[in-house]
Amino acid sequence: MTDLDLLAAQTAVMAEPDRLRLLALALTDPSGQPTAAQLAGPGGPVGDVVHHLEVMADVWLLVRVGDPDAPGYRPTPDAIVRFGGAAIGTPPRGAAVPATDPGDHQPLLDRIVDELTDRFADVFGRETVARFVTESYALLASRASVQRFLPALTARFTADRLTALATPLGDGAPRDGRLLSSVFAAQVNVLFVCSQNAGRSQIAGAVLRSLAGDRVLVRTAGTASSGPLDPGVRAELDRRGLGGLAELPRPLTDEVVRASGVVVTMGCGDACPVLPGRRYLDWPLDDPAGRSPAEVRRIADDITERVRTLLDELSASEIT
Amino acid sequence: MSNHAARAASSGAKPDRGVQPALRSALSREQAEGTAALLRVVSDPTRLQLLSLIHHSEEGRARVADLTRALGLRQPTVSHHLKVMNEAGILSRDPVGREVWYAIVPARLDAIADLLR
Repeated sequence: MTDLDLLAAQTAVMAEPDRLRLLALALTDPSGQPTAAQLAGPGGPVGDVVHHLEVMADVWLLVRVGDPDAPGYRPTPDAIVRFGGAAIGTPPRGAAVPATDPGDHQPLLDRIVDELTDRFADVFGRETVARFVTESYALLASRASVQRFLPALTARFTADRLTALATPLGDGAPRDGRLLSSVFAAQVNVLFVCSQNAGRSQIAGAVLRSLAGDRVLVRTAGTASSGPLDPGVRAELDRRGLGGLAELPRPLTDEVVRASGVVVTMGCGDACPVLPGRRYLDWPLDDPAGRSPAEVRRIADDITERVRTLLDELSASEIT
Repeated sequence: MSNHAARAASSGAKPDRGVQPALRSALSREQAEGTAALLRVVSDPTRLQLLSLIHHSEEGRARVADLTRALGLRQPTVSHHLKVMNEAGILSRDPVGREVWYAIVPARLDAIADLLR
């Protein structure tokens, strides 16, 4: 089964209101892996629920865990990324989740941010993790009937969402054939984001363009883009023969994030929108603005090394 | 909806009767039915490919000829799929001169983009 066939099969399976609601329940269950009996409730139609869950498991949207006779069903990254937004009602971009006062839970939420920041180091910055924790808490708080489970639920739900964002889909799914990205689009889209789009993202963009040619579509943007290319960065790019590969600094828009498969953030905090279905990388890099030529060179070397590694990974997995 | 499905749905609607789930279903029946209808229309490999091509195109819009060329399908086939998705409120149709541009309706963009990872 190719990725495209699998996606079509998953979509057909989820085109059923009861299954969407079961997925919503599984995603917000305190254990993260409810059994059919728990989902059906006392005296509920366990047989029907088992049937729905098994159909979903067949197309890799749920995995069975625990006791084989009464398994729990855990949503896969495919389920979380592709159907989680529809099922749990993740708010549309731009629409703020109503603020929730966590009260006594705040210290616990802070600890959750610490733990998840450690766990997702090199993938998501602390600001992004904190924003997901806050948003997940607010989402769950508006629906929870038992407040005492909220911090634990928030930790698990946030971890699931971040894992899903960081994981290439279909990991472990039985399949052959081409990857979805190569079926759909010949090119991989990579977006580099820093704050000004005048230094770090320009270097990364120019290096990747020079290494990958038209195998990869490279975009760059800044969350607070305001001025021209940094003169020191311009000089260093010229020295490397990459001057022609930089571009006019431009502001970040949701559309450009939406159009990109891989998003690399470089010191722009949480100002970069995090959307489902993209691969996120966070590179902690010094800002070259106003530094000495030697320091700019060191930063450019660091960026070049990271871009090479990224391209190797992309070549191994996504570019056919 | 069959009786079986209806019972399964009503059990989904009252998880607070259960021992475990601390949450009400995040999804109302109306929302679930609307989303299911959308998924039903796009649950076809060709339609998913068309949506992907449109979604990933430069300005988020494409013409029949572009799509026909990209997929190597016959033009009537492509036109048929586009028509169905237009009637289902998934694609907008914008005639410019002799050409017609198709784009994903903004309200559906989040759901479609999630699918097309």
